[in-house]
Amino acid sequence: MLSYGQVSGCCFCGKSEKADYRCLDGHYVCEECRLSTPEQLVKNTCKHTVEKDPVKIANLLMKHPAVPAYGTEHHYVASCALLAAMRNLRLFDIDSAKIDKAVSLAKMPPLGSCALWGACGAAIGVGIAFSMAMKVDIMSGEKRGVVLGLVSDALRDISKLGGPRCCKGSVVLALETAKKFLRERYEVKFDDAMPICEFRTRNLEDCLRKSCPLYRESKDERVGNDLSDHQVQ
Amino acid sequence: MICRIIRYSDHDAQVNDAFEEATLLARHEGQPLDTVRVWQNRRAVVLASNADARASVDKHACATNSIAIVRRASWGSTVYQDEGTLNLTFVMDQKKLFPEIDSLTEVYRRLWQPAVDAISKFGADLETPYYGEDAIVNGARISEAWVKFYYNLMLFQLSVNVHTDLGLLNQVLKQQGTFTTLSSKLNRTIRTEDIEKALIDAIARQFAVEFDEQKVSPLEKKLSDRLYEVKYSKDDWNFDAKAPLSLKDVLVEAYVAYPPTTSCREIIENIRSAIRDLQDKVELRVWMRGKGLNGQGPTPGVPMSVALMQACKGSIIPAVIINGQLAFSRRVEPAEAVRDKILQALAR
Repeated sequence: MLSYGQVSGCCFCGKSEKADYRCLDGHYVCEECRLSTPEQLVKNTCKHTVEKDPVKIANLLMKHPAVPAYGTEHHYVASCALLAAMRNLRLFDIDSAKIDKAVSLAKMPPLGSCALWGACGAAIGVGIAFSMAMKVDIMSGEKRGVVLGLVSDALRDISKLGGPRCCKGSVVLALETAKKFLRERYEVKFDDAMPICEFRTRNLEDCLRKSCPLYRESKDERVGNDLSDHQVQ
Repeated sequence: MICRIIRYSDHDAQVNDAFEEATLLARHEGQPLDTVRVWQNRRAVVLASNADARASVDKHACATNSIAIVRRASWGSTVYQDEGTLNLTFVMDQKKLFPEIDSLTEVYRRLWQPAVDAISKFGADLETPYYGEDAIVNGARISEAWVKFYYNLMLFQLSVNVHTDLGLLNQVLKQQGTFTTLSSKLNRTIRTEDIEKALIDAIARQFAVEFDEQKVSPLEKKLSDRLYEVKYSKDDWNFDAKAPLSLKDVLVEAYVAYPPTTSCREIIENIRSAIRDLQDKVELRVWMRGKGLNGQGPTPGVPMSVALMQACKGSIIPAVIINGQLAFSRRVEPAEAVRDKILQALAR
Protein backbone atom coordinates (compact mmCIF):
# COMPACT_ATOMS: atom_id res chain seq x y z
CA MET A 1 0.00 0.00 0.00
CA LEU A 2 1.40 3.38 -0.99
CA SER A 3 0.54 6.83 0.27
CA TYR A 4 -0.92 8.83 -2.52
CA GLY A 5 -2.26 12.29 -3.17
CA GLN A 6 -3.96 12.12 -6.56
CA VAL A 7 -7.66 12.00 -7.38
CA SER A 8 -8.74 8.37 -7.80
CA GLY A 9 -11.95 6.49 -8.51
CA CYS A 10 -13.32 4.13 -5.89
CA CYS A 11 -13.28 0.47 -7.01
CA PHE A 12 -16.68 -0.02 -5.41
CA CYS A 13 -18.90 3.03 -5.91
CA GLY A 14 -16.83 4.76 -8.59
CA LYS A 15 -16.74 8.07 -6.72
CA SER A 16 -13.65 10.18 -7.43
CA GLU A 17 -11.89 11.87 -4.57
CA LYS A 18 -8.39 12.78 -3.48
CA ALA A 19 -6.94 9.44 -2.46
CA ASP A 20 -4.92 9.04 0.72
CA TYR A 21 -3.43 5.72 -0.43
CA ARG A 22 -3.28 3.40 -3.37
CA CYS A 23 -2.70 -0.34 -3.34
CA LEU A 24 0.19 -1.85 -5.25
CA ASP A 25 -2.14 -2.64 -8.15
CA GLY A 26 -3.42 0.92 -8.27
CA HIS A 27 -6.78 0.43 -6.56
CA TYR A 28 -8.48 2.82 -4.20
CA VAL A 29 -11.52 2.49 -1.93
CA CYS A 30 -13.18 5.77 -0.98
CA GLU A 31 -13.64 6.80 2.65
CA GLU A 32 -17.40 6.23 2.52
CA CYS A 33 -17.09 2.68 1.17
CA ARG A 34 -14.39 1.85 3.74
CA LEU A 35 -16.90 2.68 6.48
CA SER A 36 -19.98 1.22 4.80
CA THR A 37 -22.30 -1.39 6.18
CA PRO A 38 -22.69 -4.38 3.85
CA GLU A 39 -26.08 -3.10 2.75
CA GLN A 40 -24.81 0.39 1.93
CA LEU A 41 -21.84 -1.09 0.11
CA VAL A 42 -23.94 -3.42 -2.04
CA LYS A 43 -26.44 -0.71 -2.91
CA ASN A 44 -23.82 1.94 -3.74
CA THR A 45 -21.70 -0.42 -5.78
CA CYS A 46 -24.55 -1.98 -7.71
CA LYS A 47 -26.10 1.38 -8.49
CA HIS A 48 -22.86 2.62 -10.03
CA THR A 49 -20.99 -0.30 -11.54
CA VAL A 50 -20.79 -0.69 -15.32
CA GLU A 51 -19.64 -4.30 -15.11
CA LYS A 52 -21.71 -6.76 -17.12
CA ASP A 53 -20.66 -10.01 -15.49
CA PRO A 54 -22.61 -10.60 -12.25
CA VAL A 55 -19.96 -12.96 -10.88
CA LYS A 56 -17.31 -10.24 -11.16
CA ILE A 57 -19.57 -7.78 -9.34
CA ALA A 58 -20.35 -10.33 -6.62
CA ASN A 59 -16.69 -11.27 -6.20
CA LEU A 60 -15.76 -7.62 -5.81
CA LEU A 61 -18.45 -7.11 -3.16
CA MET A 62 -17.50 -10.27 -1.29
CA LYS A 63 -13.89 -9.09 -1.06
CA HIS A 64 -14.93 -6.08 0.98
CA PRO A 65 -14.34 -6.71 4.71
CA ALA A 66 -17.89 -5.53 5.50
CA VAL A 67 -19.14 -8.75 3.90
CA PRO A 68 -18.34 -11.53 6.37
CA ALA A 69 -17.15 -15.01 5.45
CA TYR A 70 -20.69 -16.36 5.85
CA GLY A 71 -24.08 -14.75 6.33
CA THR A 72 -27.30 -13.37 4.93
CA GLU A 73 -25.42 -10.55 3.21
CA HIS A 74 -24.66 -13.05 0.45
CA HIS A 75 -28.36 -13.34 -0.35
CA TYR A 76 -28.59 -9.72 -1.48
CA VAL A 77 -25.11 -9.75 -2.99
CA ALA A 78 -26.44 -12.34 -5.47
CA SER A 79 -29.65 -10.48 -6.33
CA CYS A 80 -28.11 -7.00 -6.60
CA ALA A 81 -25.05 -8.14 -8.58
CA LEU A 82 -27.38 -9.83 -11.04
CA LEU A 83 -29.71 -6.84 -11.32
CA ALA A 84 -26.76 -4.50 -11.90
CA ALA A 85 -25.28 -6.76 -14.57
CA MET A 86 -28.65 -7.12 -16.37
CA ARG A 87 -29.08 -3.34 -16.29
CA ASN A 88 -25.60 -2.88 -17.75
CA LEU A 89 -26.36 -5.47 -20.44
CA ARG A 90 -29.42 -3.35 -21.28
CA LEU A 91 -31.68 -6.37 -21.04
CA PHE A 92 -34.16 -4.84 -18.61
CA ASP A 93 -35.10 -1.49 -17.21
CA ILE A 94 -33.59 -1.59 -13.73
CA ASP A 95 -33.43 1.55 -11.66
CA SER A 96 -31.94 2.26 -8.24
CA ALA A 97 -35.25 1.62 -6.51
CA LYS A 98 -35.15 -1.98 -7.74
CA ILE A 99 -31.72 -2.46 -6.16
CA ASP A 100 -33.10 -1.15 -2.85
CA LYS A 101 -36.14 -3.38 -3.11
CA ALA A 102 -34.01 -6.43 -3.96
CA VAL A 103 -31.99 -5.90 -0.78
CA SER A 104 -35.17 -5.76 1.32
CA LEU A 105 -36.51 -8.97 -0.23
CA ALA A 106 -33.24 -10.89 -0.21
CA LYS A 107 -32.71 -10.16 3.47
CA MET A 108 -35.75 -12.27 4.30
CA PRO A 109 -34.28 -15.79 4.12
CA PRO A 110 -32.66 -16.30 7.52
CA LEU A 111 -29.08 -17.20 8.28
CA GLY A 112 -28.70 -20.88 7.48
CA SER A 113 -31.79 -21.06 5.26
CA CYS A 114 -29.82 -23.55 3.13
CA ALA A 115 -30.01 -26.05 5.96
CA LEU A 116 -33.19 -24.83 7.71
CA TRP A 117 -35.37 -24.47 4.61
CA GLY A 118 -33.46 -26.47 2.04
CA ALA A 119 -33.28 -23.26 0.01
CA CYS A 120 -30.07 -21.25 -0.19
CA GLY A 121 -30.58 -17.49 -0.02
CA ALA A 122 -28.22 -16.94 -2.96
CA ALA A 123 -30.47 -19.05 -5.21
CA ILE A 124 -33.51 -17.17 -3.92
CA GLY A 125 -31.57 -13.97 -4.63
CA VAL A 126 -31.31 -14.98 -8.27
CA GLY A 127 -35.07 -15.57 -8.28
CA ILE A 128 -35.68 -12.13 -6.76
CA ALA A 129 -33.51 -10.45 -9.40
CA PHE A 130 -35.26 -12.12 -12.34
CA SER A 131 -38.67 -11.64 -10.81
CA MET A 132 -38.05 -7.90 -10.47
CA ALA A 133 -36.39 -7.57 -13.88
CA MET A 134 -39.14 -9.51 -15.67
CA LYS A 135 -41.92 -8.01 -13.54
CA VAL A 136 -43.25 -11.37 -12.42
CA ASP A 137 -46.17 -11.73 -10.02
CA ILE A 138 -48.26 -14.64 -8.81
CA MET A 139 -50.66 -14.28 -11.73
CA SER A 140 -47.91 -14.29 -14.36
CA GLY A 141 -47.86 -17.14 -16.84
CA GLU A 142 -44.67 -18.46 -18.44
CA LYS A 143 -42.46 -15.92 -16.63
CA ARG A 144 -43.50 -17.32 -13.24
CA GLY A 145 -42.33 -20.72 -14.43
CA VAL A 146 -39.06 -19.22 -15.66
CA VAL A 147 -38.28 -17.70 -12.27
CA LEU A 148 -39.19 -20.85 -10.38
CA GLY A 149 -37.10 -22.89 -12.80
CA LEU A 150 -34.10 -20.61 -12.35
CA VAL A 151 -34.21 -20.90 -8.57
CA SER A 152 -34.63 -24.63 -8.93
CA ASP A 153 -31.62 -24.87 -11.27
CA ALA A 154 -29.49 -22.72 -8.96
CA LEU A 155 -30.45 -24.84 -5.97
CA ARG A 156 -29.59 -28.02 -7.85
CA ASP A 157 -26.13 -26.66 -8.69
CA ILE A 158 -25.55 -25.48 -5.12
CA SER A 159 -26.80 -28.78 -3.75
CA LYS A 160 -24.01 -30.58 -5.60
CA LEU A 161 -21.54 -28.79 -3.33
CA GLY A 162 -22.80 -30.75 -0.36
CA GLY A 163 -21.37 -29.18 2.79
CA PRO A 164 -20.29 -27.62 5.00
CA ARG A 165 -21.77 -24.40 3.72
CA CYS A 166 -19.84 -22.02 1.54
CA CYS A 167 -21.72 -18.75 0.99
CA LYS A 168 -19.15 -17.47 -1.52
CA GLY A 169 -19.34 -20.62 -3.62
CA SER A 170 -23.13 -20.63 -3.46
CA VAL A 171 -23.31 -17.03 -4.74
CA VAL A 172 -20.99 -17.80 -7.63
CA LEU A 173 -22.83 -21.00 -8.57
CA ALA A 174 -26.23 -19.30 -8.37
CA LEU A 175 -24.99 -16.50 -10.62
CA GLU A 176 -23.45 -18.99 -13.04
CA THR A 177 -26.92 -20.52 -13.38
CA ALA A 178 -28.27 -17.06 -14.15
CA LYS A 179 -25.52 -16.48 -16.71
CA LYS A 180 -26.36 -19.76 -18.44
CA PHE A 181 -29.96 -18.62 -18.75
CA LEU A 182 -28.89 -15.19 -20.10
CA ARG A 183 -26.65 -16.87 -22.67
CA GLU A 184 -29.39 -19.19 -23.86
CA ARG A 185 -32.33 -16.81 -23.78
CA TYR A 186 -30.72 -13.46 -24.61
CA GLU A 187 -27.54 -14.60 -26.39
CA VAL A 188 -25.33 -12.72 -23.97
CA LYS A 189 -21.63 -13.44 -24.46
CA PHE A 190 -19.91 -14.31 -21.20
CA ASP A 191 -16.60 -16.02 -20.70
CA ASP A 192 -17.45 -19.73 -20.94
CA ALA A 193 -14.86 -20.90 -18.42
CA MET A 194 -16.05 -21.85 -14.95
CA PRO A 195 -14.70 -19.12 -12.63
CA ILE A 196 -11.99 -19.98 -10.13
CA CYS A 197 -12.82 -19.28 -6.49
CA GLU A 198 -11.17 -16.05 -5.40
CA PHE A 199 -11.54 -16.86 -1.70
CA ARG A 200 -9.88 -20.24 -1.43
CA THR A 201 -6.91 -18.88 0.48
CA ARG A 202 -9.15 -17.18 3.04
CA ASN A 203 -11.27 -20.07 4.22
CA LEU A 204 -8.89 -22.93 4.80
CA GLU A 205 -10.79 -24.75 7.53
CA ASP A 206 -14.20 -25.12 5.90
CA CYS A 207 -13.16 -24.93 2.24
CA LEU A 208 -14.51 -27.87 0.29
CA ARG A 209 -11.35 -27.80 -1.79
CA LYS A 210 -11.24 -30.44 -4.48
CA SER A 211 -14.91 -31.36 -4.12
CA CYS A 212 -15.86 -27.81 -5.18
CA PRO A 213 -16.01 -27.11 -8.94
CA LEU A 214 -14.63 -23.59 -8.31
CA TYR A 215 -11.49 -24.78 -6.51
CA ARG A 216 -8.01 -24.76 -8.02
CA GLU A 217 -4.75 -25.47 -6.22
CA SER A 218 -2.81 -22.26 -5.67
CA LYS A 219 -0.13 -20.95 -3.38
CA ASP A 220 -0.72 -17.38 -4.49
CA GLU A 221 -1.53 -15.50 -1.29
CA ARG A 222 -2.69 -12.48 -3.25
CA VAL A 223 -5.60 -14.33 -4.74
CA GLY A 224 -8.77 -12.70 -3.54
CA ASN A 225 -7.29 -9.22 -3.35
CA ASP A 226 -7.16 -8.57 -7.03
CA LEU A 227 -9.68 -5.92 -7.96
CA SER A 228 -8.26 -5.35 -11.41
CA ASP A 229 -11.01 -6.99 -13.45
CA HIS A 230 -13.69 -4.72 -12.18
CA GLN A 231 -15.00 -1.79 -14.17
CA VAL A 232 -16.41 1.34 -12.59
CA GLN A 233 -17.85 4.48 -14.03
CA MET B 1 19.86 -23.75 16.56
CA ILE B 2 20.18 -22.63 20.17
CA CYS B 3 17.17 -23.21 22.38
CA ARG B 4 16.81 -21.96 25.90
CA ILE B 5 15.92 -24.42 28.65
CA ILE B 6 14.64 -23.38 32.04
CA ARG B 7 13.77 -25.56 34.98
CA TYR B 8 11.30 -23.66 37.07
CA SER B 9 8.50 -24.99 39.26
CA ASP B 10 6.64 -23.17 42.00
CA HIS B 11 4.84 -24.87 44.86
CA ASP B 12 1.66 -23.03 43.75
CA ALA B 13 0.04 -24.50 40.63
CA GLN B 14 -1.55 -21.13 39.84
CA VAL B 15 1.90 -19.52 39.73
CA ASN B 16 3.10 -22.35 37.49
CA ASP B 17 0.35 -21.75 34.98
CA ALA B 18 0.79 -17.99 35.16
CA PHE B 19 4.43 -18.55 34.32
CA GLU B 20 3.41 -20.80 31.46
CA GLU B 21 1.56 -17.97 29.74
CA ALA B 22 4.27 -15.50 30.71
CA THR B 23 6.84 -17.54 28.77
CA LEU B 24 4.72 -17.21 25.66
CA LEU B 25 4.09 -13.47 26.12
CA ALA B 26 7.77 -12.82 26.87
CA ARG B 27 8.83 -14.60 23.68
CA HIS B 28 6.54 -12.21 21.80
CA GLU B 29 7.78 -9.16 23.71
CA GLY B 30 11.45 -9.66 23.04
CA GLN B 31 12.76 -12.90 24.57
CA PRO B 32 14.87 -13.91 21.56
CA LEU B 33 15.10 -17.69 21.85
CA ASP B 34 12.60 -20.51 21.70
CA THR B 35 12.21 -21.91 25.19
CA VAL B 36 11.75 -25.33 26.71
CA ARG B 37 10.56 -25.33 30.29
CA VAL B 38 10.57 -28.44 32.44
CA TRP B 39 8.37 -28.30 35.49
CA GLN B 40 6.09 -30.08 37.92
CA ASN B 41 3.00 -29.21 39.87
CA ARG B 42 2.23 -30.27 43.39
CA ARG B 43 -1.23 -31.81 43.70
CA ALA B 44 -3.46 -29.94 41.27
CA VAL B 45 -6.38 -30.35 38.95
CA VAL B 46 -5.50 -28.51 35.77
CA LEU B 47 -8.54 -27.44 33.79
CA ALA B 48 -8.47 -26.68 30.09
CA SER B 49 -9.20 -23.06 29.18
CA ASN B 50 -12.62 -24.09 27.84
CA ALA B 51 -13.53 -26.67 30.52
CA ASP B 52 -16.64 -26.47 32.70
CA ALA B 53 -15.12 -26.46 36.19
CA ARG B 54 -18.29 -27.57 37.96
CA ALA B 55 -18.82 -30.51 35.64
CA SER B 56 -15.18 -31.57 35.63
CA VAL B 57 -13.93 -31.33 39.21
CA ASP B 58 -15.11 -32.47 42.62
CA LYS B 59 -14.32 -29.30 44.55
CA HIS B 60 -15.02 -30.92 47.90
CA ALA B 61 -12.62 -33.80 47.23
CA CYS B 62 -9.99 -31.28 46.13
CA ALA B 63 -10.37 -29.30 49.37
CA THR B 64 -10.24 -32.46 51.50
CA ASN B 65 -7.06 -33.62 49.83
CA SER B 66 -5.41 -30.16 49.58
CA ILE B 67 -5.51 -30.24 45.82
CA ALA B 68 -5.29 -26.91 44.00
CA ILE B 69 -7.58 -26.11 41.10
CA VAL B 70 -6.14 -24.08 38.27
CA ARG B 71 -7.15 -23.32 34.73
CA ARG B 72 -4.41 -23.23 32.11
CA ALA B 73 -4.35 -21.06 28.99
CA SER B 74 -4.66 -23.88 26.45
CA TRP B 75 -7.60 -25.97 25.28
CA GLY B 76 -7.72 -29.74 25.67
CA SER B 77 -8.39 -32.19 28.45
CA THR B 78 -8.72 -31.63 32.18
CA VAL B 79 -6.15 -33.60 34.18
CA TYR B 80 -4.88 -34.29 37.66
CA GLN B 81 -1.17 -33.70 38.24
CA ASP B 82 1.25 -34.14 41.10
CA GLU B 83 4.98 -34.50 41.53
CA GLY B 84 4.78 -37.79 39.65
CA THR B 85 3.67 -35.89 36.55
CA LEU B 86 6.30 -34.30 34.35
CA ASN B 87 5.43 -31.21 32.34
CA LEU B 88 7.46 -29.98 29.43
CA THR B 89 6.54 -26.78 27.66
CA PHE B 90 7.97 -25.77 24.32
CA VAL B 91 7.42 -22.14 23.27
CA MET B 92 8.52 -21.61 19.73
CA ASP B 93 8.18 -19.57 16.59
CA GLN B 94 6.39 -22.31 14.70
CA LYS B 95 7.12 -20.92 11.23
CA LYS B 96 10.85 -20.75 11.97
CA LEU B 97 11.05 -24.19 13.52
CA PHE B 98 8.99 -25.79 10.74
CA PRO B 99 9.44 -23.44 7.78
CA GLU B 100 8.48 -26.08 5.24
CA ILE B 101 5.30 -27.35 6.92
CA ASP B 102 1.87 -25.80 6.26
CA SER B 103 -0.19 -28.46 7.98
CA LEU B 104 -0.90 -28.00 11.66
CA THR B 105 -1.57 -31.73 11.92
CA GLU B 106 1.96 -32.43 10.76
CA VAL B 107 3.45 -29.82 13.14
CA TYR B 108 1.57 -31.48 15.98
CA ARG B 109 2.82 -34.91 14.96
CA ARG B 110 6.42 -33.71 14.88
CA LEU B 111 6.12 -32.05 18.27
CA TRP B 112 4.76 -35.28 19.74
CA GLN B 113 7.52 -37.41 18.26
CA PRO B 114 10.18 -36.77 20.97
CA ALA B 115 7.70 -37.82 23.65
CA VAL B 116 6.74 -40.93 21.71
CA ASP B 117 10.42 -41.79 21.29
CA ALA B 118 11.25 -41.06 24.93
CA ILE B 119 8.35 -43.04 26.39
CA SER B 120 8.83 -45.92 23.97
CA LYS B 121 12.47 -46.10 24.97
CA PHE B 122 11.37 -47.20 28.42
CA GLY B 123 9.35 -50.05 26.95
CA ALA B 124 5.81 -48.66 26.65
CA ASP B 125 4.59 -49.11 23.11
CA LEU B 126 3.12 -45.82 21.97
CA GLU B 127 1.55 -44.61 18.74
CA THR B 128 2.04 -40.98 17.68
CA PRO B 129 -1.24 -39.24 18.49
CA TYR B 130 -3.22 -37.39 15.83
CA TYR B 131 -3.92 -33.67 16.19
CA GLY B 132 -5.83 -32.99 19.40
CA GLU B 133 -5.48 -36.51 20.74
CA ASP B 134 -3.67 -37.81 23.81
CA ALA B 135 -1.11 -40.59 23.94
CA ILE B 136 -2.77 -43.86 24.76
CA VAL B 137 -1.31 -47.19 25.89
CA ASN B 138 -3.75 -50.10 25.84
CA GLY B 139 -6.71 -47.74 25.94
CA ALA B 140 -5.42 -45.63 28.86
CA ARG B 141 -4.01 -42.11 28.68
CA ILE B 142 -0.38 -41.92 29.66
CA SER B 143 0.51 -38.51 28.24
CA GLU B 144 -1.36 -35.44 27.06
CA ALA B 145 -0.41 -32.41 25.01
CA TRP B 146 -2.04 -29.03 24.60
CA VAL B 147 -1.49 -26.15 22.27
CA LYS B 148 -1.93 -22.39 22.50
CA PHE B 149 -1.20 -19.88 19.76
CA TYR B 150 -0.17 -16.28 20.27
CA TYR B 151 0.61 -14.18 17.23
CA ASN B 152 3.15 -16.27 15.29
CA LEU B 153 4.11 -18.29 18.36
CA MET B 154 3.02 -21.68 19.56
CA LEU B 155 3.04 -23.11 23.06
CA PHE B 156 3.10 -26.89 23.10
CA GLN B 157 2.69 -28.34 26.56
CA LEU B 158 3.34 -31.98 27.16
CA SER B 159 2.39 -33.78 30.33
CA VAL B 160 3.60 -37.30 31.12
CA ASN B 161 2.10 -39.44 33.89
CA VAL B 162 5.31 -40.96 35.20
CA HIS B 163 4.09 -42.09 38.62
CA THR B 164 1.05 -39.84 39.16
CA ASP B 165 -1.25 -40.86 42.02
CA LEU B 166 -4.14 -42.42 40.08
CA GLY B 167 -6.13 -43.01 43.27
CA LEU B 168 -6.39 -39.27 43.91
CA LEU B 169 -7.05 -38.64 40.24
CA ASN B 170 -10.08 -40.91 40.37
CA GLN B 171 -11.42 -39.06 43.41
CA VAL B 172 -11.20 -35.53 42.05
CA LEU B 173 -12.01 -35.75 38.34
CA LYS B 174 -15.71 -36.12 37.60
CA GLN B 175 -15.39 -36.68 33.86
CA GLN B 176 -12.42 -38.96 33.74
CA GLY B 177 -11.27 -41.23 31.01
CA THR B 178 -8.98 -44.10 31.78
CA PHE B 179 -5.55 -42.97 32.88
CA THR B 180 -2.37 -44.88 33.48
CA THR B 181 1.20 -44.09 34.43
CA LEU B 182 4.46 -45.21 32.96
CA SER B 183 5.47 -46.83 36.25
CA SER B 184 2.27 -48.84 36.58
CA LYS B 185 2.34 -49.83 32.92
CA LEU B 186 5.88 -51.12 33.14
CA ASN B 187 5.44 -52.47 36.64
CA ARG B 188 8.57 -50.77 37.90
CA THR B 189 9.48 -47.40 39.33
CA ILE B 190 10.38 -44.81 36.73
CA ARG B 191 11.80 -41.50 37.95
CA THR B 192 10.64 -38.21 36.43
CA GLU B 193 14.30 -37.23 36.07
CA ASP B 194 14.87 -40.19 33.76
CA ILE B 195 11.93 -39.26 31.54
CA GLU B 196 13.04 -35.64 31.56
CA LYS B 197 16.49 -36.58 30.30
CA ALA B 198 15.07 -38.87 27.61
CA LEU B 199 12.67 -36.13 26.47
CA ILE B 200 15.33 -33.43 26.30
CA ASP B 201 17.65 -35.72 24.36
CA ALA B 202 14.86 -36.61 21.96
CA ILE B 203 13.96 -32.94 21.38
CA ALA B 204 17.60 -32.07 20.75
CA ARG B 205 17.84 -34.89 18.21
CA GLN B 206 14.47 -34.32 16.53
CA PHE B 207 14.82 -30.56 16.05
CA ALA B 208 18.63 -30.32 15.89
CA VAL B 209 18.72 -27.87 18.78
CA GLU B 210 21.41 -27.18 21.31
CA PHE B 211 20.12 -26.33 24.76
CA ASP B 212 21.34 -23.36 26.76
CA GLU B 213 20.25 -23.61 30.39
CA GLN B 214 19.07 -20.23 31.61
CA LYS B 215 17.25 -18.68 34.52
CA VAL B 216 13.84 -17.05 34.46
CA SER B 217 14.23 -13.63 32.86
CA PRO B 218 13.10 -10.41 34.58
CA LEU B 219 10.53 -9.90 31.81
CA GLU B 220 9.08 -13.39 32.38
CA LYS B 221 8.99 -12.77 36.13
CA LYS B 222 7.24 -9.42 35.69
CA LEU B 223 4.67 -10.86 33.29
CA SER B 224 4.14 -13.94 35.43
CA ASP B 225 3.54 -11.84 38.56
CA ARG B 226 1.02 -9.69 36.72
CA LEU B 227 -0.72 -12.69 35.17
CA TYR B 228 -0.97 -14.29 38.58
CA GLU B 229 -2.38 -11.09 40.07
CA VAL B 230 -5.05 -10.38 37.45
CA LYS B 231 -5.87 -13.86 36.14
CA TYR B 232 -4.50 -17.06 37.62
CA SER B 233 -5.21 -16.27 41.27
CA LYS B 234 -8.81 -15.34 40.49
CA ASP B 235 -11.88 -17.55 40.77
CA ASP B 236 -13.24 -15.65 37.76
CA TRP B 237 -10.61 -17.39 35.67
CA ASN B 238 -10.15 -20.68 37.51
CA PHE B 239 -13.85 -21.48 37.94
CA ASP B 240 -15.69 -19.37 35.39
CA ALA B 241 -13.12 -19.18 32.57
CA LYS B 242 -13.44 -15.38 32.46
CA ALA B 243 -10.10 -13.95 31.47
CA PRO B 244 -9.25 -10.28 31.88
CA LEU B 245 -9.24 -8.44 28.56
CA SER B 246 -5.80 -7.00 29.21
CA LEU B 247 -2.96 -7.17 31.72
CA LYS B 248 -3.29 -3.42 32.14
CA ASP B 249 -6.06 -1.71 34.09
CA VAL B 250 -7.90 -0.35 31.08
CA LEU B 251 -8.19 -1.70 27.56
CA VAL B 252 -9.15 0.66 24.76
CA GLU B 253 -10.16 -1.09 21.55
CA ALA B 254 -10.45 1.07 18.48
CA TYR B 255 -12.28 -0.47 15.54
CA VAL B 256 -11.44 1.35 12.33
CA ALA B 257 -11.43 0.92 8.59
CA TYR B 258 -8.55 -0.53 6.61
CA PRO B 259 -6.83 1.57 5.47
CA PRO B 260 -7.97 4.00 8.16
CA THR B 261 -10.02 6.90 6.84
CA THR B 262 -9.43 10.51 7.87
CA SER B 263 -11.89 10.15 10.74
CA CYS B 264 -10.37 6.83 11.79
CA ARG B 265 -6.90 8.36 11.89
CA GLU B 266 -8.20 11.25 13.98
CA ILE B 267 -9.78 8.83 16.43
CA ILE B 268 -6.55 6.85 16.82
CA GLU B 269 -4.55 10.05 17.26
CA ASN B 270 -6.98 11.37 19.87
CA ILE B 271 -6.78 8.14 21.86
CA ARG B 272 -2.98 8.15 21.70
CA SER B 273 -2.93 11.73 22.85
CA ALA B 274 -5.37 10.96 25.68
CA ILE B 275 -3.27 8.09 27.06
CA ARG B 276 0.20 9.53 26.51
CA ASP B 277 0.95 9.68 30.26
CA LEU B 278 -1.06 6.54 31.08
CA GLN B 279 0.95 3.95 29.13
CA ASP B 280 1.52 1.75 32.20
CA LYS B 281 -2.18 1.54 32.92
CA VAL B 282 -3.90 1.68 29.57
CA GLU B 283 -3.49 -0.64 26.59
CA LEU B 284 -4.64 0.46 23.15
CA ARG B 285 -5.47 -2.12 20.50
CA VAL B 286 -6.34 -0.87 17.04
CA TRP B 287 -8.37 -3.41 15.08
CA MET B 288 -8.78 -2.79 11.37
CA ARG B 289 -11.81 -4.16 9.61
CA GLY B 290 -10.89 -7.32 7.73
CA LYS B 291 -7.21 -6.94 8.60
CA GLY B 292 -6.88 -7.80 12.27
CA LEU B 293 -4.83 -6.09 14.94
CA ASN B 294 -2.93 -3.07 13.56
CA GLY B 295 -3.75 -4.28 10.04
CA GLN B 296 -1.29 -7.16 10.45
CA GLY B 297 -3.71 -9.99 9.67
CA PRO B 298 -4.96 -12.70 12.02
CA THR B 299 -3.63 -12.44 15.55
CA PRO B 300 -4.31 -15.69 17.40
CA GLY B 301 -4.40 -15.46 21.16
CA VAL B 302 -5.38 -11.80 21.37
CA PRO B 303 -8.95 -11.68 22.67
CA MET B 304 -11.64 -9.33 21.42
CA SER B 305 -14.29 -7.97 23.77
CA VAL B 306 -17.91 -8.92 23.16
CA ALA B 307 -18.66 -5.26 22.36
CA LEU B 308 -15.94 -5.27 19.72
CA MET B 309 -17.34 -8.43 18.14
CA GLN B 310 -20.77 -6.80 18.08
CA ALA B 311 -19.29 -3.72 16.42
CA CYS B 312 -17.68 -5.95 13.78
CA LYS B 313 -20.86 -7.88 13.14
CA GLY B 314 -23.03 -4.75 13.05
CA SER B 315 -20.57 -2.68 10.98
CA ILE B 316 -20.43 -0.10 13.77
CA ILE B 317 -17.35 1.60 12.48
CA PRO B 318 -15.42 3.52 13.62
CA ALA B 319 -15.98 2.50 17.23
CA VAL B 320 -14.13 2.99 20.50
CA ILE B 321 -14.62 0.39 23.22
CA ILE B 322 -13.31 0.97 26.72
CA ASN B 323 -13.03 -2.04 29.03
CA GLY B 324 -15.56 -3.93 26.98
CA GLN B 325 -18.15 -1.14 26.79
CA LEU B 326 -18.94 0.76 23.61
CA ALA B 327 -17.88 4.32 24.43
CA PHE B 328 -18.09 6.13 21.07
CA SER B 329 -19.22 5.15 17.62
CA ARG B 330 -19.32 6.67 14.14
CA ARG B 331 -17.99 10.01 15.28
CA VAL B 332 -14.71 11.65 16.24
CA GLU B 333 -14.56 12.66 19.88
CA PRO B 334 -11.98 15.18 21.06
CA ALA B 335 -9.02 13.80 23.01
CA GLU B 336 -10.35 15.37 26.24
CA ALA B 337 -13.63 13.46 25.99
CA VAL B 338 -11.78 10.21 25.31
CA ARG B 339 -9.47 10.87 28.25
CA ASP B 340 -12.42 11.55 30.56
CA LYS B 341 -13.95 8.19 29.67
CA ILE B 342 -10.64 6.42 30.23
CA LEU B 343 -10.11 8.13 33.58
CA GLN B 344 -13.62 7.07 34.61
CA ALA B 345 -12.73 3.47 33.73
CA LEU B 346 -9.49 3.72 35.67
CA ALA B 347 -11.34 5.02 38.72
CA ARG B 348 -13.71 2.04 38.79
